Amino acid sequence: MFAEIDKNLRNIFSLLYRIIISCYIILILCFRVGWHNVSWVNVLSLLLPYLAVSFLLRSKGNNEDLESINRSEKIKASLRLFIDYGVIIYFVKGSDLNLFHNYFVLVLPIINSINHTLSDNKNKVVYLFSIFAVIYIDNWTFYESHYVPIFVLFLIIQFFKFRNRISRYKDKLFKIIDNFYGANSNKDEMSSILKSLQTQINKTLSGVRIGKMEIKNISCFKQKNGRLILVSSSYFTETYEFGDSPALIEYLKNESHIQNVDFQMNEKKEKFNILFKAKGNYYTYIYLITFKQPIILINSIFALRLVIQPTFKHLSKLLEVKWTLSTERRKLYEDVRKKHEYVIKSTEVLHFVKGALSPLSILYDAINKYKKDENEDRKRLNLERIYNLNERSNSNIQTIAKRAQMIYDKDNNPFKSSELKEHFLPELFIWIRRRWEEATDSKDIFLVRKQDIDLFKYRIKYDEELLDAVLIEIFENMHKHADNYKRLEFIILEDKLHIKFINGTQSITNKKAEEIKKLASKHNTETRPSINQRDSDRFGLYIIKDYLFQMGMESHISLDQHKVYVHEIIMKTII
Amino acid sequence: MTKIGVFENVLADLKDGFELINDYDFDNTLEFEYFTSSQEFGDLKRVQEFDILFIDIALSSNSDLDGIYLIKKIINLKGVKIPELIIITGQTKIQSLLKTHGLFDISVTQKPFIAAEVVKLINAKITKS
Repeated sequence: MFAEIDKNLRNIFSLLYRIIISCYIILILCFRVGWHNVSWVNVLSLLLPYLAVSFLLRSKGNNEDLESINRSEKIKASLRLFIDYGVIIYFVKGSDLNLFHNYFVLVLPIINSINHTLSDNKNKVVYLFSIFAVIYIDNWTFYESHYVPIFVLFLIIQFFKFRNRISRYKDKLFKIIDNFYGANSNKDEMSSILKSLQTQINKTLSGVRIGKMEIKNISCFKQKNGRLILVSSSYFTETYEFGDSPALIEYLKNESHIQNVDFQMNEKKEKFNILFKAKGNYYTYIYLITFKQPIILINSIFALRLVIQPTFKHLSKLLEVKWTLSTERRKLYEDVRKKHEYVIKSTEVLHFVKGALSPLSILYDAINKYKKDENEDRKRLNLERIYNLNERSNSNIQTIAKRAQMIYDKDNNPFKSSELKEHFLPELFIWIRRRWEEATDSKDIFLVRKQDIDLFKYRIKYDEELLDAVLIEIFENMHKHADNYKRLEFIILEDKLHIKFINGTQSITNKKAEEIKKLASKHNTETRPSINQRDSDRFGLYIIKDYLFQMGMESHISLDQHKVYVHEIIMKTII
Repeated sequence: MTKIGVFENVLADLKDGFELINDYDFDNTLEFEYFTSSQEFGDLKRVQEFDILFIDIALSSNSDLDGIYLIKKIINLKGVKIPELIIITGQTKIQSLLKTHGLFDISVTQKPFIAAEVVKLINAKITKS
């Protein structure tokens, strides 16, 4: 789509450019003979067809990729240039080129060549045309001063084009990286990126006339404890070894690159290489490019500074993002692992308890049997067993109590809050608002406070993970019965913050409403958390209450006669 | 005589129970042999000497096999009369565990040891065999 827009823009600019040339020609005619004396019929009968033909010869190709321009486009471009000069020469012929405004129109096509679709070599035709035009208008007399501006323009435009080409090439390499970044493929992305970059750069290098070079392999390293550790490489690297990696790392602290370092890859010495650093936002990665041929100094420094290093900096940034993501994932896994371990341990304790209760159960049976028994010998034997079982039960009960304590121990329980951190009230407000908007799509959010209160005066202690779990439970509850009416209120009353999650529940039956009211009054009672905990169908509410309690917060729920349900959290603030 | 093998990690918790029912419910017609690990049993073909095997799932920590794999090995024995198998365990999710291992129709009694239940199971197995 952008190529399409780009092409249209170029055509519009190209038409505008010819309109400007036409207007300019009319202006110099007016300067020369006065506008009353201009032969408008002659002028327009030439300029209008000129514009029309130029438009008909407009470029139709996709100009994004210079290499793909076909022959007919090249011929059309040359034709347009030829017609431009034809028209210019026709009108300027007979004028004095020592006058700036006359001379200027001859170099207009040179200035416009910045926009040209032709490759560089073909582009030089414009200079030949302009030189021809000058010498022709000067009646085949050579005035060297008339050629100096053309030469200077040539130099300036070459510099400009060079810069442009570099930037376009860089864009191309960046695109290779970005395409992989966007694609969610399972293959080794990094290796594929390096391989694509290598292919692209090699394609370019093969066009260099003097000092051909070809990349063998690109590798990416990170530094750890004075060593360079391979992150990935464009081709499979089984073994690798640097001669002296601590020294290389030290050297790279001050220098951007080193050439031909002592390096072995897959048991073979790689003589021609360049080692350079490319820093992402925070972290520096080190890249090594190995070549088949010796590196030509001038090539490498130009390419390295202008193209290679910026490209690999871009890649380093991508690596950083991936690295951060994987660290986050690891952290998350560790957290889940702790919880999983805790659940497994708790289940084991339960199994143990069940087994350890056996002597007690057998003891009861033995006593019952003893009481009914009339066989004296058997009774005596059984009594001995009863003493045994009694002792065994006693010691087992103590072990059971100890094991059970392990589950309750706060240190072992990953579901207990570890640390409460202080946050500013606006921070909490923004966070809960975002969670609310994600969960409910309601924008009905109010912050109620006395006028002129500085919100940053208030701080609140909480554990973000626990509070997040509470929010999940509250929103879960809301989703069960809520209708369209949803509202979030933050109310600051003296040193307390009341957060009210409000929703309508018009669709519920009166019976259900009564149930909720009963539930609410139980939930709101502070004196029976242990009983609430046991009640599994209110587990969500238990979590809310328990987690808030751990953070020193209160929770109240209510349902009024209009079936408006309110879940209120009350937090103490630190002023 | 009915010969019963008991695979159990904490023998001290169960032994009295089995002996109690032997005294009172079976007139000492049961003969017990106890094992805390699978290898203590020796050659598995010996199972044909037994009428009933009680097997705990979590055996001693030095046991080569846990209860599930012990059962699997026993029922796969060729040319041997397989005794009646009863699982005695504290694990609550034993049924789904058996299912994932493709084991069906195996009696289970939950810990703690309930004498009446164990008696019932043994009687059922004796009549069956």
